[in-house]
Formats: sequence, C-alpha cells, structure tokens
Amino acid sequence: MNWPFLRAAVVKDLRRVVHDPWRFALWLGIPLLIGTLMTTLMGGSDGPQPRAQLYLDDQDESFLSGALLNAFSNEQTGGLIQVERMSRAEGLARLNQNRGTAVLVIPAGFGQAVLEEEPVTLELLTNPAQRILPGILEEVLELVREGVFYVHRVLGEELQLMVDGPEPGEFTLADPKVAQIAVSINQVVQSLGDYLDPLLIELESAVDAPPTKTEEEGVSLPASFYMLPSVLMMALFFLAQGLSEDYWTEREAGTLRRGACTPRKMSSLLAGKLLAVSCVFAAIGVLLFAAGYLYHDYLPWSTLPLAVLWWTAGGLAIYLLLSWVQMLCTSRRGGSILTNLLMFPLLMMGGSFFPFEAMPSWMAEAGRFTPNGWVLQQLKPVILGRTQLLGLGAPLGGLFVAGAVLLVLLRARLRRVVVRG
Amino acid sequence: MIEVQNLRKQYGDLVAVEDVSFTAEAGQIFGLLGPNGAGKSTTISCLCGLLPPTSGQVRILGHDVVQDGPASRQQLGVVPQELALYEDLNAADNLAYWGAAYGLSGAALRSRVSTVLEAIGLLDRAKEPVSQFSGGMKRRLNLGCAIVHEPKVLLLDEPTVGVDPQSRVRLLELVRELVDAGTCVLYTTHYMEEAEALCDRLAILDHGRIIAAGTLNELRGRVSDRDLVRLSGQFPVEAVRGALEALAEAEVLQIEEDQLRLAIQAAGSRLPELFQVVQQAGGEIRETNVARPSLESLFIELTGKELRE
Repeated sequence: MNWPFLRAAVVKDLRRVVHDPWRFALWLGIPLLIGTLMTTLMGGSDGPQPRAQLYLDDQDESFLSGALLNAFSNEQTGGLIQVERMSRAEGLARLNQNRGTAVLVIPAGFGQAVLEEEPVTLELLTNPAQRILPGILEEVLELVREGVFYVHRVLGEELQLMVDGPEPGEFTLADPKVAQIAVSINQVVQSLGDYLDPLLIELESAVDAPPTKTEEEGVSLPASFYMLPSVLMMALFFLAQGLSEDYWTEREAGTLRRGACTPRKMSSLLAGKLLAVSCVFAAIGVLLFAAGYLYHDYLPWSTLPLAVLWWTAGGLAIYLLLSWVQMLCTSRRGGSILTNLLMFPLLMMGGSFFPFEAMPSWMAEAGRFTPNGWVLQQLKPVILGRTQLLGLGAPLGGLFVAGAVLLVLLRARLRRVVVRG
Repeated sequence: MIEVQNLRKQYGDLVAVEDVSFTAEAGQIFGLLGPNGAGKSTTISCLCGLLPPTSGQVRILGHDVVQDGPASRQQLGVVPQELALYEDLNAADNLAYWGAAYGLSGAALRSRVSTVLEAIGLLDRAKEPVSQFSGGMKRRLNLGCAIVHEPKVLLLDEPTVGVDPQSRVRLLELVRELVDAGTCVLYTTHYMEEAEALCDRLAILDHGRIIAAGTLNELRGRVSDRDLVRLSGQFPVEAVRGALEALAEAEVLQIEEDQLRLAIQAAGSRLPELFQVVQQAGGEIRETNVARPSLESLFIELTGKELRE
C-alpha cells in the first residue's frame, strides 16, 4: 500500500465532498424530517402532559364532600386532574381569564342529602375555551356520582354512623361505636366476597399502539427513543446512497479510467474512497448521535464512541452494497432508480420508517434479517450501554466479512466498467 | 521505449486491431493516424494496460504491460481523448492527486505541481475550480495531469479534438518541449496536417491494420506526384468510368453516383479536359476540389476514402 497516495486519495475525496455541502443537507434533512414526523405521529412526544385544573368550592365540608374531593385527587387520576380549593367566584374569575378547566361547587348539605337519599345538585362550570379536558372532568364526576350511589346502597348505615360523629361532649368516636362500624363493614365485605374474590368479570385488554413508556430489561424508555436509532439508520442509508453515486461521477468524468492507467491498483483507489467515506460517516455520525443524546438526556454519553463506530461500520457495508448495485447498471439514472428501489423497501422492512416495536411481529422478525435491520438491532443495545466493545466483536466480524465480499465484487465490477469506458 | 509486436485485439467476432507492430524511440513523436474506428484508441488502451491484448506483445521501457503492469505504467503518462479531471477540485489539487498516483509526495510533488502549472499557463488560476475553466484550459490541464510525474513515455489520444486554435498551438508547443527533453510520445490523431507538422514517424491505421508506416519523408515518397481531384454531382457510374479510363495519366480512385475521386497529373491545367470527358459521359458536376499530394492523399490512394469519413 502506498501511504502518500492513500492520503492524497482521501484528501481528494473529502475536498470533493466538502465542495458540495448542500448534498448533505438533502441526505440528512429528508430522514430527519421523516423521523420527526413519525415520532410525532406515534405520539412519542415527551413534553409536558396536559392536566385538568379543577377549582373546588366545598361549601359542605362534610365527610362525604371530603371523600368526593379525594376521588379527584392526584393519586386517583394519575396526575391528570389537579384540584385547588377556592370560592366559586374566585374560580369563575380564573376561568374568565382562561386559567383552569372547571369549577366544581359542592353545596352545603350535600353529605346529609346523600345519606337521606334526597336530591342534591353538584354544579360544574367548565371553561369553554378548552375542549377535551372539561369533557374528562364531566366523565370523572359522573363516575364519582355513580360510585357514591352504590357505596350508599351498600354501606349507608355505616356512613350514617360516621357522619353522626362522636357523642356530644366527645372529640372522637367512642371505641364501641368504632368497633360496631368496623364489624358492620367487615360483614358487608364478606357478603360481597363471592362477587369480588375472584372477580366474576374478567377483563382482558390488548394494546396495539406502541406504549408511551416501555419496560426494557427493567429500564423505562419513552416511545420516542425507539425512533432515534431508526432515524439514524435512515440517515445512514441516505448518506450511503448519495455517496455511492460518486462512482458514476468518476466514471462519467473519465477519472476512474485514468486512475486505472496509473501504477496504482484498483484496490488502492477503492481503499482511498472507503477511508474518505468512513471519515464522512464518522463525522456526520458524531453530530447526529450527539444531537440524539442531547434530546434523550437519559442516554449514557460514554456509549457514543462505540455507537458511532458501529454506525460507521454498518454504513460502510451498506455503501459497498449500493456502490456495487450502482455499477451493475448501465447508466447513472438506472443506478439511481435501482438503488432507490432497493433502499425504500429495506428502510420500511428494516425498522427505519417504523421501529420494530411498532411493527406486526412477523414483519419485525423478517425485518431483522435485512442488512440495515440487522445493523439497527445491534445499535440499540450499544446506545443503551448494554453491549460493550467485546460484545460487538462478533457482529463487527460479520460486517467485515460481508464488506470484504462486497469489496471484491465491486472491484471486479469496476475493472469491467473501466475497460468499457 | 515503446515496442508493439503483432498486437491483436478481438471482441467476440469483431477484430479491432490486427497484427499491429511498431516501435517508438526516446525524443521522438510517433504518430498513429487513422479515421474514427480504425483501432487507434484500442491500441492506446492496450499500451496503457486497460485492455489485455488477445495476442501479441506490448512493452513500455522494456516492461511487458501484461506481465509487469505497474512497472510499465510507472513511467507512462496518458492523455485520454475525453477530459478526465475532477471538475469540483481546483487545478493544483488535480495535479497533486495525479502526481501522488504516480508516487510523488512532499516537496517534490509541490515543486512539480507549480512547474506544470506554469508550463500549461494556469499558474494564476491554480486555485480556481476546474468547472470554471474554458475548454482550452481544461485540455491543457488534462495534459498537465499526464506529465506531472515527468514520464519517459507519453500517450496522447487525439488531445486537440474540440480545442480552439490558440490552445491547440500551446498544446503542440508543450508536446514539442517534452520531446526535446527526451520524452517518447505516441500521438494519435485524424488531423493529417497536425501529424505532418508534429510527427517524426507515422503509422496509418485502417480497419485495425497498419496500411502504411515510416518516417514522414518515406511516406511522402510513397505518394505519387499526381493531384487528387474530387468531383461532386450526378454521375452515371459505368459511363463515366469508361470515359475516364481513356484519359491519359488519370486513375479513378472511387466513383459513386454523387461523388468521383481520381488522381491526375497536373490537374490545374487539365480540368477543362476532365470536365468535358465527364459531361460527355452524361455526368453533371456541381463542385470541384483539387488537392496537392499529402498524407491525406496517400490515405485516399490506399483506402479510397478520406480520413474524416
């Protein structure tokens, strides 16, 4: 190997690449745009969750109104509803300023009315500027209302005892009274045992959509993480396809043929090109991965070098494949059409447009056998730090073998096209 | 320096080059003449190792181009017929890359790059992208890329095709300077005037075979002192042929319904006689062309057709 020539060949190709930076904008812009759209479509945004702000005016201040308030609490609704106590007037003033979702007024005598099965009206005033959150509050209130009805049916007497409170002159319920309530509730629960344990209704749910949070080996990952390696692979494919067209540029310019008239062997010319392409992949890879790690701030930065190494190695193999396909064609246009015909189905199947996790299982299984799918499958654990350099040895060896075979095929093809001119 | 012996190149049933032999020495320009498709570029491709000969032997500076390819190409410069440049690089970068491809590096490479830039008149445009160059400038750079490593043997495959007259003169001057410095040049062209002005020895190719070879004087000696006359118009072939056979010191080289070529002694003074014979035989003359004896007339005498056909 002639090192000064190799250096000159790398410098030559890098200068030519830098000469046209707009090509990169195109090659990288398209996958990033598609990736962003797909992430958005899949609801993968990790931004703040919308919350309903409920202003509560509890004019009853009873045990039951407290229980009602508790039903709306953060713990019960998974943080969807935030309750703040204030007067009706103050709540309405906030709604008028488009702050908050609704005002709930629990009138005085609410608890007693429930116990005595008398009609009582809960007032829910909603913010007309909001559409979805007020509807959620109405649904929750309806559920609570039904819950109160059934609890009263089952535990009406016990509730009455609790509402009656301690005897005059006492601060707490007397022990016999507490025992009486506890025994009574226990008897009710036992009588309902046949229905509750086991539950007579079995509910089975299946979720087709990708989870918003996924447990993978005990670590919770947001859905948008799965788009990161997919988008990176898409960018790699676009980059490799664009760079592979350079063989046509050299062929049409006559420089490939001229190169074959020098004492340098075709493998030396190819080595220069491969090194230049590796530099391009690595440089672009560092930028893209750094952006991804910044966005997903839970990812360990220590995994970035190995992730870029694997990405670059995978990119080289894909580049060699596409270059060989380009040179099989008889025109630049033919090469472009054929590589695009190859690229888009592989991107679809190989988990770049849709992550494997969001695909039907049969398609995901098949996609893992595509070249880019296989590279992608190894990339995820590398990013997460679950695969170290030693663990990547066998896959890197596999890539090396595939690359070597493709290199031999490409070299043979280039010799033929150089003779043909 | 260049030895070609019984070179044959065959593609399937098509024989592109058949039994071609010649030698070219240092400080000499060997011209390979012939019309398009005569086999000139195929011969050049065999010389620079792009095409393996079907049979025969090609040696550059004693190295067989098949057995010892890299060594035979080390002292060889090739100027291809089509431009072969990186248009997105500048002139200096192009020269530096091709110099490195021939083993130059460091200070030696930088020195050669600036020497060649000066020689081809592009020193002041060295940092401009080649895509902004005119056709003539690109042709000069195309030559520069082939001589940056100071080759002992230079193959020029029709280097002046499509070049403006000013750039052509500059290119031919450069070639002469290289030859004066001891370079062996193989020059292919279909411009006879260029070959006559430039080449020391020549071989004329047609249909893959050498039909004439020698020094310029030897080839001129083979041309008879008869002028070449070409008539265009309408000619009843048999009647005109018969009438011209009776004409003294005239030989019909080619006759078709719309064209007639003949070699005739002192054509200038015998044109009226010629016109009368042709018209009496039923021919109608629309255009007349008389040429003095030259390599072109030799080619026409040997093949019955013009070089540019």
